Amino acid sequence: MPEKASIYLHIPFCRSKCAYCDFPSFAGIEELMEPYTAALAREIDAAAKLQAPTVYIGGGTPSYLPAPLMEALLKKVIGHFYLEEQVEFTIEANPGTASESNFRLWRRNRVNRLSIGVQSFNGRLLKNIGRGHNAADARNTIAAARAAGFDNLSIDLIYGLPGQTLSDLKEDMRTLLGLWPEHASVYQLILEEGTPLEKMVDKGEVSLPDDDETFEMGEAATGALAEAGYGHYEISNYALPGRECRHNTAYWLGKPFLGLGSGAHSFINGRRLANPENVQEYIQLMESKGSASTEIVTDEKARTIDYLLMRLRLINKEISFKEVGDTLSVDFKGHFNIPLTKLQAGGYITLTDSSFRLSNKGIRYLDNIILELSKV
Amino acid sequence: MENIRNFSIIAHVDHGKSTLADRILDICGAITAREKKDQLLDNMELERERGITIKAQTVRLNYTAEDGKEYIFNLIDTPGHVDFSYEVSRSLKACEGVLLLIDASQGIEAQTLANLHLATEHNLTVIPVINKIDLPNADLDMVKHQLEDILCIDAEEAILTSGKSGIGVKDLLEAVVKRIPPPKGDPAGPLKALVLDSWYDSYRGVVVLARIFEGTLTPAMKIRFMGTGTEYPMTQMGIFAPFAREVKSAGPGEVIFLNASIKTVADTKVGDTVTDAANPAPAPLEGFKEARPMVFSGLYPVEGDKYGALREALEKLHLNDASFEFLPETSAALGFGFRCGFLGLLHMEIIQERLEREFNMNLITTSPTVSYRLTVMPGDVRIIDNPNSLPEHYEMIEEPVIRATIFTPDEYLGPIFALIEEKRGVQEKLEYIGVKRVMVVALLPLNEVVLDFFDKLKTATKGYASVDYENHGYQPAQLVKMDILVNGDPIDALGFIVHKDKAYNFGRDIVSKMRELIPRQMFDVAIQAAIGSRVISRETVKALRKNVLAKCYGGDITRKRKLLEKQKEGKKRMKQIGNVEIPQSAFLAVLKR
Ligand SMILES: Nc1nc2c(ncn2[C@@H]2O[C@H](COP(=O)(O)OP(=O)(O)OP(=O)(O)O)[C@@H](O)[C@H]2O)c(=O)[nH]1
Ligand code: SF4
Ligand SMILES: [Mg+2]
Repeated sequence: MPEKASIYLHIPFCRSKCAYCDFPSFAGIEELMEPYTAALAREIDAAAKLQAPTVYIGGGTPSYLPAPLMEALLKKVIGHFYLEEQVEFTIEANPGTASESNFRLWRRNRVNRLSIGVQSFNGRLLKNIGRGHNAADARNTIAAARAAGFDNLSIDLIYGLPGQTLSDLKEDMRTLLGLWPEHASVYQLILEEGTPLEKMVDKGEVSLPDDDETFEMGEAATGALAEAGYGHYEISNYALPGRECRHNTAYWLGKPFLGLGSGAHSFINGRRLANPENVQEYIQLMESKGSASTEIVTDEKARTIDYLLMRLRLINKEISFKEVGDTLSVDFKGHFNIPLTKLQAGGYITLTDSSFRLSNKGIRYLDNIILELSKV
Repeated sequence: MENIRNFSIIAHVDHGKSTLADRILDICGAITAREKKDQLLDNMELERERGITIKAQTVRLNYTAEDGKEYIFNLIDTPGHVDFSYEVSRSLKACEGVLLLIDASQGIEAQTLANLHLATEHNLTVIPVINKIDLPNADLDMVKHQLEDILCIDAEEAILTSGKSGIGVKDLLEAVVKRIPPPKGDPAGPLKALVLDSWYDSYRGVVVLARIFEGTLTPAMKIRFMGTGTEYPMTQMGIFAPFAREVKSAGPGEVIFLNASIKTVADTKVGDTVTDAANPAPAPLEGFKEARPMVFSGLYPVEGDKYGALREALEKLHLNDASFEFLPETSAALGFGFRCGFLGLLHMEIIQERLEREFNMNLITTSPTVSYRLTVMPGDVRIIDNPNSLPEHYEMIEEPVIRATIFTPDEYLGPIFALIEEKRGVQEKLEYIGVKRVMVVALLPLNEVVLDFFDKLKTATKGYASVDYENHGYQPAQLVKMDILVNGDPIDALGFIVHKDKAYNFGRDIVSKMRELIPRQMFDVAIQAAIGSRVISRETVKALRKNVLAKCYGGDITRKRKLLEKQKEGKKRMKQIGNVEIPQSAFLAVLKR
């Protein structure tokens, strides 16, 4: 029996760099697309022939990869790994970078789910954050995906955008719900250090909505989605019943995954590995050494915290002490008794003899909860 | 004894004392080329970094004069900063003369005058030295006039030098030989030596620096400290030249160090008299006026479990600097800590910095305060140095006052008058000294000075004014105690005493600063400033409504973990007060109000 693990493939190319983005993604290095996919193919070849319950091609902008390169990559993936019968196979696509024929090509190669980076349906707001598409592109791309036969779509939205008001957000939610995606990810914008957006805000060129308004936006998004029947199963993720993203759920449950490509991380046999974020460095390492990963050495404590960081995001599933014990081989209840009791008293979690889960209040203060737990 | 010359170099801050000492060391061949470095006598790390002298340093030198004779010099380099003037007065006890340095480009400044007064009080021979004459903006005429007008010193007596280039230093040493009298004293009499300093040295143990006035000291003696009455057999004695060198005996006029089997520095007292236990002197020498702390503040470890470590650190520091005081105190807000007394703000800063650097302490320091004189009822008069010890009812409160002498170019008189007024000061005297320079003498409440007087003066005069100050007793004042409350609880560590007329503005400033600095918590936090039950200012830090959680892409958990580490670091600098977390910066903001 081959080992079982989810597969992640990173495509670091974007048509343009968004102002808020600090992911390992780059615009203007299209000439590296060919050598990069060749290096990626090499990394696949060198990988164990895993049994894959899910595959996820993320980025960057995977849909920006030219069709022939994508086709070769898909064929390589299908040929090398044992994809399960019921595999969930996702590609991230940005509006305006893929057509219906691209989508058909992907579908022929076992891709069955798309995650579309819409971020907003409001042209003015998209401009503010330097996205390279407009609202019409978003609708067209979604329509093309449906026409190509995709019946499992996720739409990404961001709120708290510069210049955004609560009614803008509500408008975005209405549009989203009108498109009936099976899944939605709604993130709050984070002003990351060193991004162009941070400079723009510092210089006063754009201004972010204040904390209170942003909070209202988050509440409005959750409310609208709940009303339309989407379950809030993860901090930022919502799905119609049965359409929760299985790939991401694997991360959150602390299941093994193999990450390939620049900047990709793996969690295999309890070890964490990372590839360099620099694309050229990644290609060179693959060419010269046939491998690019280095291990991130962690101790028992870091492993526990890592697990909690991930696991606590999955808010619809209570955490049983047995589950934690099996995964981490620690007496969780005994070890974390003091903070758990404190968190229970503060109304952040509900605690039973065998499990705990976040309360509605706890969901809002996850950072504080993790901080409290990590003090032990 | 005829060929011994004991002298201190005294001056205003930065007029070049330590640099001149370097040149004197050179000429006397005290150091090899390899050992040479600028301001060699400033050997503390902080002294070197800040380029100032904090502790007086004694060095013994041999000088062959033009008359062909060899002389022994005991030279003391003293600090110029007003906080350390007690070091100067101590040093002067060991001397028969002083070199009074004046920076040729700056002229006479506040500590020039103050230090000269100290020297004349001690009846010492003063050699005026106009220094830094190599500077392009040196103004010899101006300085000479000032010498005559302000100091009443014959300008003809002044020796012109540059500690940097060495010009005139040889002449200066000849003047030392000719003008400063040799010490007096009977080498055969009963031993009398004045303890100038004592400190702990990791391989020599307790070291006592003393100046012999009568008799002869030998390593075979059993010595007695006349003040404490304790006796110890000597183990070693020597001189600093500038590095330690053993000697076998020393007589009147000599400055030596001695080691005896003394356990801790606390067993020795600066200003005490050392005598021969077998042949004691009938009466001790006159000691020193003790240096009294002027500024007080509470020092607390950020992490409560470091209290023991802080105590140890303070004890160790105290061994080498007996001029600061510390007593345990407890704050409901900050836990266990110490109330410390310092000679001034610079002294406070230096002690704090040494604690943080040399002992790795992470400290919270409460607002510096002064000591108030409180008449609770007739006959019950107390001195309080902690705002929280102010009882609810009392008859009268008095604040300490200083007499400040400010030297300034006259173009800044306007801003200086405004500042004195703002600080509730009263001008006593104004005197032109030379064409464009003025001396202003004013009485100022010390608590105003402790706040930010020096900073403001510096800003108002672009750094051209200098100040010296001395105690001037207490005066009654309309003072009130202001409390800062967080969610209804007064934070004892933030309580302070302030003049009634300033209370409202202070309260409002602090509250609004605190509001900016206290991060949003999971609930509303009310911040209030109150005098008694009267709230004079109130602001609210609205509850944090939720955390922002990043997208977790591609299973990369390292970013999340880094973020967590950053948050944890941030937490470390927080103090938990009730259930409110207050960052250290909020305390500092109040401290620096
Ligand atoms: N041009 C010139 N600069 C000098 C001379 N003497 C000292 N300096 C400079 O003046 C500054 C202060 O010199 P120090 O010797 O540390 O002065 P100090 O009087 O010992 O200072 P404190 O001990 O802090 O009171 C340094 O930057 C020296 O380099 C001099 O003769 N000529
Ligand atoms: S498309 Fe996505 S990965 Fe690319 S720059 Fe924009 S946000 Fe970043
Ligand atoms: Mg000096």
